[in-house]
Amino acid sequence: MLTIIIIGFLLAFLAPFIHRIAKEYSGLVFALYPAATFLWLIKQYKTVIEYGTQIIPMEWVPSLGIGIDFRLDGLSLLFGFLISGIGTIVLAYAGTYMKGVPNTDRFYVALIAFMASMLGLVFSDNIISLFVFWELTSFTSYFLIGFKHEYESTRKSALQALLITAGGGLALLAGLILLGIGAGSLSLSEILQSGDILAQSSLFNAAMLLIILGCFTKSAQFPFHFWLPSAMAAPTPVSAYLHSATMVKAGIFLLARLSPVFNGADGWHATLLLFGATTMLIGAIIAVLQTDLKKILAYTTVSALGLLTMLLGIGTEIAIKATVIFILAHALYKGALFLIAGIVDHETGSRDIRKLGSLFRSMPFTATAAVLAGLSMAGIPPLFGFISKEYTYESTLEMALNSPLTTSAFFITGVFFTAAAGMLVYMVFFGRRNRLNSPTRETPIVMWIGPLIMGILSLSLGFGSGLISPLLEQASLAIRPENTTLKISLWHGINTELILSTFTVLLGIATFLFVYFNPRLMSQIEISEKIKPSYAYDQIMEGVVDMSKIVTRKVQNGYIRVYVSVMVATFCVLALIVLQNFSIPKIGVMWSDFRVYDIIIGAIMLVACFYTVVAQSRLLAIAMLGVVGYGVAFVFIIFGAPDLAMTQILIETLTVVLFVLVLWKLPKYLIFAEGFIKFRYFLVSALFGLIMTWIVMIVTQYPMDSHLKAFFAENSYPRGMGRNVVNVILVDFRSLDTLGEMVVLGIAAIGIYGLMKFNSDKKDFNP
Amino acid sequence: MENELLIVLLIPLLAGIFNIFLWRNLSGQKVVFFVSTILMVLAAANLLNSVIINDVITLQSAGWEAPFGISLVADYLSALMVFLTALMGLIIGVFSLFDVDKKRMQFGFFPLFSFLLFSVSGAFLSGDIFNLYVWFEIMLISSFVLMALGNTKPQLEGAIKYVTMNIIASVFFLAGIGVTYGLTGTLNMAELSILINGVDDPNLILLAMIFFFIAFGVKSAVFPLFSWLPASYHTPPVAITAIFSALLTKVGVYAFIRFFTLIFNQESQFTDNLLIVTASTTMFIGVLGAAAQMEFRKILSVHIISQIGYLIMGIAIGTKMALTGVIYFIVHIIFVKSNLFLISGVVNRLKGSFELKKLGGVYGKYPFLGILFVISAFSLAGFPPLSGFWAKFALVLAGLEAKEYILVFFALITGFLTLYSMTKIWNEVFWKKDPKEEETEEVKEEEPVSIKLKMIPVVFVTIIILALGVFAEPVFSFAEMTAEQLLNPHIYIDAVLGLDQ
Repeated sequence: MLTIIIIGFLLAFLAPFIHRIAKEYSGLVFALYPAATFLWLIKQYKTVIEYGTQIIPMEWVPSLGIGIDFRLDGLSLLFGFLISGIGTIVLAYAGTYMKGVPNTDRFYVALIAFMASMLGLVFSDNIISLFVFWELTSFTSYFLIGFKHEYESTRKSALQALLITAGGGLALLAGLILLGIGAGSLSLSEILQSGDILAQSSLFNAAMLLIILGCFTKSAQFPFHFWLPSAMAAPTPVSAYLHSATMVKAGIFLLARLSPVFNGADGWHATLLLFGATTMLIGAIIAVLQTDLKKILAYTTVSALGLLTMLLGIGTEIAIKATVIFILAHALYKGALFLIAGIVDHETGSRDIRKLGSLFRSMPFTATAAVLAGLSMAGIPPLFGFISKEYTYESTLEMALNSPLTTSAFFITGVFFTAAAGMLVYMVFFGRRNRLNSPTRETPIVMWIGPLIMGILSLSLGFGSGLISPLLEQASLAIRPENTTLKISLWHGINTELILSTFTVLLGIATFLFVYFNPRLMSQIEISEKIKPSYAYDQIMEGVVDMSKIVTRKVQNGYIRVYVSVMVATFCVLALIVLQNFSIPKIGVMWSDFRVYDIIIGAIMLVACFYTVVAQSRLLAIAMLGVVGYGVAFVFIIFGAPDLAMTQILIETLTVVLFVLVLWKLPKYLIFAEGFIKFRYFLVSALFGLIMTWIVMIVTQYPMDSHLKAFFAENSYPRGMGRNVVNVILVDFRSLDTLGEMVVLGIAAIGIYGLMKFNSDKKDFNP
Repeated sequence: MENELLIVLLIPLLAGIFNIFLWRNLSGQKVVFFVSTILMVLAAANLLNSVIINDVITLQSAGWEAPFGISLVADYLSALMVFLTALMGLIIGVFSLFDVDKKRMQFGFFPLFSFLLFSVSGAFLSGDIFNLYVWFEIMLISSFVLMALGNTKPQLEGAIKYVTMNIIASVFFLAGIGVTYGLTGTLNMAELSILINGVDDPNLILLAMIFFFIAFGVKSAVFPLFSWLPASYHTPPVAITAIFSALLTKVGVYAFIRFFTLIFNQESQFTDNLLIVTASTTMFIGVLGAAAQMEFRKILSVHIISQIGYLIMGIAIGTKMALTGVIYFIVHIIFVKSNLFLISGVVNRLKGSFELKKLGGVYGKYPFLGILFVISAFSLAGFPPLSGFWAKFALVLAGLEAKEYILVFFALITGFLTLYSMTKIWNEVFWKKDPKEEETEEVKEEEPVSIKLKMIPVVFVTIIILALGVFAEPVFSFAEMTAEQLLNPHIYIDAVLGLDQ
């Protein structure tokens, strides 16, 4: 299995080179990959039928408990067949469809990489490797939607799809991890077996909701559905493949995959049922208001995805059977219809059903395929779509709660499906005359053969569904292990389902005729922008950008004095929180302890400090700062550290002299801060000063008894060969520090040289 | 064994000194620089290997036994960081050979670069808090000069803000050292780790911690102390920005990890809350800042902040899984972010701008560059199976395990907004039509040789990023061992103080 996926990615990597050699046949060459996969899966299918679920373990990141394990069972095989089967058709089709389009090689890269990722997704037996492939499908889909990236609207659609699916992906990741923590393993097999433990877990509901959220975004459930119609900006083979048959079903797939864990939880049923039914209705209603072929298809796809979610939400035996049947039925007819829409667009240059008509004569094969697919979509016997509809009715009728409501929702949807099928097939291939002036002709066989095969399958599966029922049975078992055997037959006798089904079709035809004869009326119905979820998306994205601009302007306003005061203020706040726990230490000093010169020096320093701050010229400020520095030197002298005092005096003198020299060069002193602002900084500084004093007083209460001092004093002469302990510390005990400081001086010298000599004229210089 | 540690520091120091003597001989400087960075990578790899065998390697400088002299210590974390420093030095060094202008080279670019590598490696290896301060100073001055080199107005403005804030941060650092020394009487980290528990009032420890928090917070650019970074990072040539982004803030984060696992590892609600709030706000505000920008380098620079938030998140959670995630994240982010900066530089050379509004059409013309960007950008956004995904995954996993839901929430939102800011660049620079082409007819731009040469390091890093993602296991198991060592400080302490013999 891994080999197949790796081959897929390798093929994607090599696609540009193969494309250069194979040119217009490259589509066919690439189609060999999914075709081979399909054959290989048939072989695996036999094993699964015979021996049950197959697990292929493979380590990936064992430190995190992640493996690329694969799981072959009915559900994954069903999807595997769809991915590889439709993939073969789509790639062969794309070879002709994309002829003459620039940068086709990039298209193949993304499409084949997508195919491999999608296979990885459905076969994964580790929730994290599943997630990896999941995100890869979003990622490749982004590039496929944005294939025609010269147009701004295309870029916007691609980004919308990516942000919504990837945003949901983040929720999904959190949900999957919670699930993994609850089950104590990231392996899907183990999670599926520990449903009981999980149900006890406190994280169960959170995990479930997050996973549902992720699946809803991916499978375009209301209110996230709007990215899917926008994604129609992609080339049609992509729409047919990703946005109808495979990728958008990934969410459904995962919901189905985890059904054994969640089935039974109240939140699960309620959420899926409610959102599924809503999506189903909204999609179906909007679909018949469209005039663009691809838009009709997109909205009916949204509706179909809603239906699948709803069926999973019902979760009874019959509903799960209906789910797997509908997955297959939908993939067959919708994939075909998409490809046919592509053919029509390719040959006539239009996708507008108001302009198209009576193409049957010029495109007989395409039209035949379209009729078959359309009949299946409308749910007319003996096509496979009919069976699927019967099962769905059965499951809604059987529901213990809300049965009438759900049944009527599905009834309305069915009506609109029939109408939409009529619009897609009758209005394009029959009906009024073509209003496009260009002559049309049948496409090459590679393009129409695929849809025709799918159409014929829809037909033959209706009769000979015994062929497919073992697969579907396995799939339904994988979703609901307690399910029994699945026998599919066309004729169930006259029952409620059949009566409902008949009315659905009749009413659907009536609706279609209404649309057909009143095309103007339909296009007049407009949905206000503001109630669409896509409006909310736009608003949110704009809001985020606006907010980020406001926040950034506040935080990063360009004034260094603000930055510094924020830093100091942060310190003050943190220090005050901790200082709450301390009392202010008593000052154990009497006024009489001060000597006269203590007071004099202190007073001088305070006054100088004050003048440094209020000085209106730089010269005065620096001179005053110098006075403070000398004051410190005197303090050192008083406390018996003459060498420190000497150093201090030297540094102060040098600093003041250098400053004064530099001052000549500087422009006039400008004062930016005025009034209240000044007061604010005064507050911050004063607070900082007080806090530092407080901290020093606290710390000095503790005795300073470092064993370092004793060691240095003891060893300085015998082992360091120096009488001056400070010197020995500098050049021996801690010589590394001194080396570092020397490097600092050296670098500073380079810096000063550069600052003074570097003239940034054009020659040899790139700013 | 000791020499393996010493030689890593000696190589860049000597290279810097040699190159000062070769001041007027640019080609000589280039050779010395190039050879020395290669040697440094080899020495660092050797050190890493030796640490894996021996656990911890110590060097007591000037032969004074700990805690009286200055200890240099290489444990897993230090050795890894030094190796990354050397490797990035080489990669970005090669890039700068082709990208930095001659004028800057004449004014000491190469020695400054070597000194920067010297100081950063020193900081990673230092086992003494005052000595760490000295390394910080060398790092500050060398990065300041590199940043200002060129004397353009924005550079000087940025550099002034950078140096002012960082010097004040150093003052906090120094004050913190003073307070800590006052409380414990030692500067040696290992001994400090023991003696700090002898301080009778836990609030005193917190008081000392706050000083270091401010100092390292400024260095690593956490909210609300990060202002210097967006003000300055986009001003120098991209090669310099790239090496800064790879190393400078990471030294701050390293210091955070070291101090909070070795010294301030006491149970404290205050510290936990402080780190959680810092991590959340840093992630979120940082990524908002990135979303607001419309300049290639600015988006990338501001975005660094949000990544620092992720690292602090891991430190805040503090479990083994979280620290494993932090280590992996550091490795990932060093490569990815620097690579994005380098790509922005290449785009600038091709199209002559960093402004998103003025750029466009790069994917159409240079699809290969586009792919390189996509890999790095989506890795940054945490798309699997790229390196960023594993980094984020480990942290989110650790967060959920530890029930730190707020942190996880911010981590995920930040990931989403990161994706938004990266796709913004992609949309504007790569997918959009070149706005210039609409006016003038097809401008034929030849791809000069130097662009191709510049692509070599970019391609190299991209391969590393891919490998980090697809073959994540070796790095993860190393990160796990590192986390294990960090959570057992006695290994470090025993090795430094010689208690294990």
